Amino acid sequence: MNILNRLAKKSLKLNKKRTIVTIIGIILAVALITGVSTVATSFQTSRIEHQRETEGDYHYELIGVPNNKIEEIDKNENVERIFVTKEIGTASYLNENKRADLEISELSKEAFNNLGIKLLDGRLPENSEEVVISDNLEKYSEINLEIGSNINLELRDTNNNKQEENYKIVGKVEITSKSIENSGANNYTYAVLSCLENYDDNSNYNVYIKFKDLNKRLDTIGTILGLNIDSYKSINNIVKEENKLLDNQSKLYDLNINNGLIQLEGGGYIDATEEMIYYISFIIILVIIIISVYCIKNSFNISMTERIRDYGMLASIGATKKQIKKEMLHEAYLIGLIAIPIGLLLGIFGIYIILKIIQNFLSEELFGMTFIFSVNFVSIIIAILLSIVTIYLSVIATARRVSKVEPIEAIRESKDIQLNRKNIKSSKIIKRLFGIGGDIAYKNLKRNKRKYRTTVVSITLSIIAFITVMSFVNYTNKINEILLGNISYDVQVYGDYKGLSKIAKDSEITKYSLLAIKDANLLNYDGHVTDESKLKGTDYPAPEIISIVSLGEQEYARYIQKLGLNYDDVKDKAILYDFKTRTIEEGQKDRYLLYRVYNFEEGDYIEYSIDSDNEDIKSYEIEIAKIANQKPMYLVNSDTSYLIVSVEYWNDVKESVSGVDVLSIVTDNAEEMMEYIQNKFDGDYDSIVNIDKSEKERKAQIITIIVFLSLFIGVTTLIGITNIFNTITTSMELRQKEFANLKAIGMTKKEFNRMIKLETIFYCIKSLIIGIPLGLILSYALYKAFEINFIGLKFVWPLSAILISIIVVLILIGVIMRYSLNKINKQNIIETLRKENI
Amino acid sequence: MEILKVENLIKKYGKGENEVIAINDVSLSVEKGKFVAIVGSSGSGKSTLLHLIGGVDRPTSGKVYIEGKDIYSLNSDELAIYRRRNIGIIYQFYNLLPILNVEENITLPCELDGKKADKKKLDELLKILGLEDRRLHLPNELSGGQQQRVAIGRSLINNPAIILADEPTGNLDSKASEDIVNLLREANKKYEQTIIMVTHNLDIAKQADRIIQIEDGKIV
Repeated sequence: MNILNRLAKKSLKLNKKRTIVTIIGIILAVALITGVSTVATSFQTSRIEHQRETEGDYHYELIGVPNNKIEEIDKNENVERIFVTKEIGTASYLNENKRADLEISELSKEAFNNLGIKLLDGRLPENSEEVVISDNLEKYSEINLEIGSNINLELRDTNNNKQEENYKIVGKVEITSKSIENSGANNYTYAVLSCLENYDDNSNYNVYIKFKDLNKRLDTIGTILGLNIDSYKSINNIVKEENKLLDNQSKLYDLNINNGLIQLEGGGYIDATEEMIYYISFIIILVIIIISVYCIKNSFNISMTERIRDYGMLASIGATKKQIKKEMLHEAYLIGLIAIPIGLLLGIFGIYIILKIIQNFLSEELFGMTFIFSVNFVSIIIAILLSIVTIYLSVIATARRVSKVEPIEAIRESKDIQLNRKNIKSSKIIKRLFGIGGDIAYKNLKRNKRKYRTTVVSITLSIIAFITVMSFVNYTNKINEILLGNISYDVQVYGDYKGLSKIAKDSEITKYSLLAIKDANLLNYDGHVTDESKLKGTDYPAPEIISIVSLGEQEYARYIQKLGLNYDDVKDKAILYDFKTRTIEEGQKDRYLLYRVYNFEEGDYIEYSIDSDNEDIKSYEIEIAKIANQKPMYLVNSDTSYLIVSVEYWNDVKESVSGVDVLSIVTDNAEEMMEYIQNKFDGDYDSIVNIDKSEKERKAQIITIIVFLSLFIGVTTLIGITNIFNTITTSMELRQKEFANLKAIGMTKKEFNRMIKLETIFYCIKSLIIGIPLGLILSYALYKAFEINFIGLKFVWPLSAILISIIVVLILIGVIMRYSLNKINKQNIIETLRKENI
Repeated sequence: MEILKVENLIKKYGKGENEVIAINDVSLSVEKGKFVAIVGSSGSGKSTLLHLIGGVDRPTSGKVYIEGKDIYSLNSDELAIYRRRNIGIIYQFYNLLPILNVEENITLPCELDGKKADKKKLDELLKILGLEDRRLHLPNELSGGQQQRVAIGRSLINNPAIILADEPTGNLDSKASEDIVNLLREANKKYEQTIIMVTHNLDIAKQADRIIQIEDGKIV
């Protein structure tokens, strides 16, 4: 119908303000949904790329494959590609009094490109006489080999034959793949890599495989390894089957699995962490979708309801219901045509810009990986469909409402108010507090349920979203604490107390903690070990050993203050920290269990003894002052539990045997600090370590998640506010006649303001009453989701979130009301009354 | 020829204690080409009667036949279509679409039918209504009288069987009122248009061919 389309277009043009507000509402909602999916996709892609660049772009490593079998593997239909390395042998390198263990391998060109090997200096080897060396060699054992120099190595090859080899060093590389160089904090075997030139039938090779279809990898690997994997299939969990495969003794080759990449590429590796992440994302996305959908629906409702009179008029001169519906749909179509694409672009480019900012302004070091921007077209399409469906349904709902009304009633707008004479008695309290204005407001609210419902729902949804997301941030933090143990140092120096104290006093070192740790034998542990400690699963700590720790005066004072303890009360006692996490198998899943090792309580006594150099074994007894639920800063997660004592106590009990003392330093540049100490304090310490990069990365990842979440809280709140603004200003506008009437019959400005204030308070109270409990419920659901992975996690009431919601809602509504009031008060009474009639 | 027949029309509002009987068993019939005025005091039900005749409100019971057709046997879509082709309604408050100009407002019933308005008829109407140089103006650029004339034009464009006018001069000054009534009379004479007009002004009512008086929902 041409006229209908024209009507739609004109109406949108002439009601510019209304149209624009509707469009903005939809844009924000669509942008939010798009943004969420873009972030998720980008994050996933970044993680995959990162895994490929650190561990390597392979799924399985087969160890010891004879040359004549390589091609067969390559040709397997499920193998996308392979690359090959060869283990040459090991050697010890001695220089002055420094010693390092070396592992020599030859890598093919593809191997160099796909095993996360980063060339730092020089070039890659071009033949089997040239090598590149790992930069960890210099870092950790201070052996500095120059590029261009030669090294002579006495190799012990894979058959245990000795051989002398001479290599020329042509470059230095950074190696991150554990399949090439595997390192613990204190014992490194450093990689020396040469170029794989010749393949001979007498040697064995390591073949790195990438599968085409990860879900079929077991069948493929079964064929390659010469195993019948049917027996594994009954386990019905591809990861467990895979693990069993590792144990199988009769397989042809040894196997090394790049779990990280398989997990990210969807190889069925759903551990409890992933499951938890899915559930949580689901809840958050659900909240976001509900808000967005509601916002779109509301925007439309508002713009359509305003025009009921026009629709009534159209009907009265003979427009059919279908025609009216068509007109509404056309309006919706025009709005959607503009709003949805803009929303999509805003969402996508918004994320793009944020990622660019993160890349440029925040060091990659901090996050441990580059963020790759990636868009998932499936989710874009879903976002579009969701918006279209929502818009369509809102229009249909309004059309249905309009069609139920006879034309003349629509024109009079009489059906809008469903009045019920019954049971509305004036409340005496309200009258006294708020005057006649308040009385009218009260009656208004009681009778006009539908109109106010929209506003209340808008506010409520925002409250719920806010509380939910804040809880999420809360729990993420808690878990972060548990998993990472509050690591915030950068460099750790091991040695003895004397030497370390000397270093600690250096002017360059300002933030540090000097820990003295000594392992002791716990004598009375029998009967005091918890059941969870004894559960089967991954390695669990031996309860007979406990570590006694002195934090140094400063840290100790800070720690006991955090625990709410008084120094004099506890200086002769010990603080027990024995919380641990471990994975336990529960059916098909692995879960993290947070538990206590011992069941000692405050006031119990611990008996321990310390091994000393002289055969004298002294035993001691100490009372437990408190069971701590937080670790002191700078203390790493270890196998044993900790007894934290004062420096005074420590000095009394200390034996001549040196324990493991640790100086933990916080610094801006870990590399520089390490070099500084290495140069200046040579001999004062045993070893020095840069904290494990991956732990810092993990923490950074969590920080990133929190950053993005805050963004989403921000946008969701923005949507909520727009929605609320829209709803309230419209309802104010629609009631202009009512207000003019009241003023005309003599309601003073003061009384009028009171009336509005009361309405405000009612809105707030009602939405808070509904919103807070629902927010709590969702918060609890989140807690349960986290608990999937972290048994023993405690539910935390989101009190601060609730408080903030209350304050923000009050302020927000107050501001909007005042804005509307200002507008209304400016109007001329009679003109408003007249306006309705034209 | 009988163009309108109303049979035992009843319209009630509300329930129980609150029940109001707006139209209390009204029956009447109107011949084609007549100009009828319905008068009554405020709240007598005259407007309600008019709306029921025009099919913009539903009766509680009773029948309305226009050109022999029982309009309440139609469903709402059929009724809407019937209305746009056969009934012209003029309200006291002009009820034009604020977003359409004079010409578009007048031709709206035709457009809803999917047909283009008869240009000749349109030009003629505009001339008679004195709106030729206001063709493209929007309602908020017109005076009250002009708006009402647009409403009349809209009601005439489809040569409907009857025109219903609900207090068409209620909101106008005496000069404009006179113009409007004259226009209606001219339409009645020139196009043989049957017109039923509700008014509370006896002077205006006297200009009609027949006066029906209604009080408390009944014809007296």
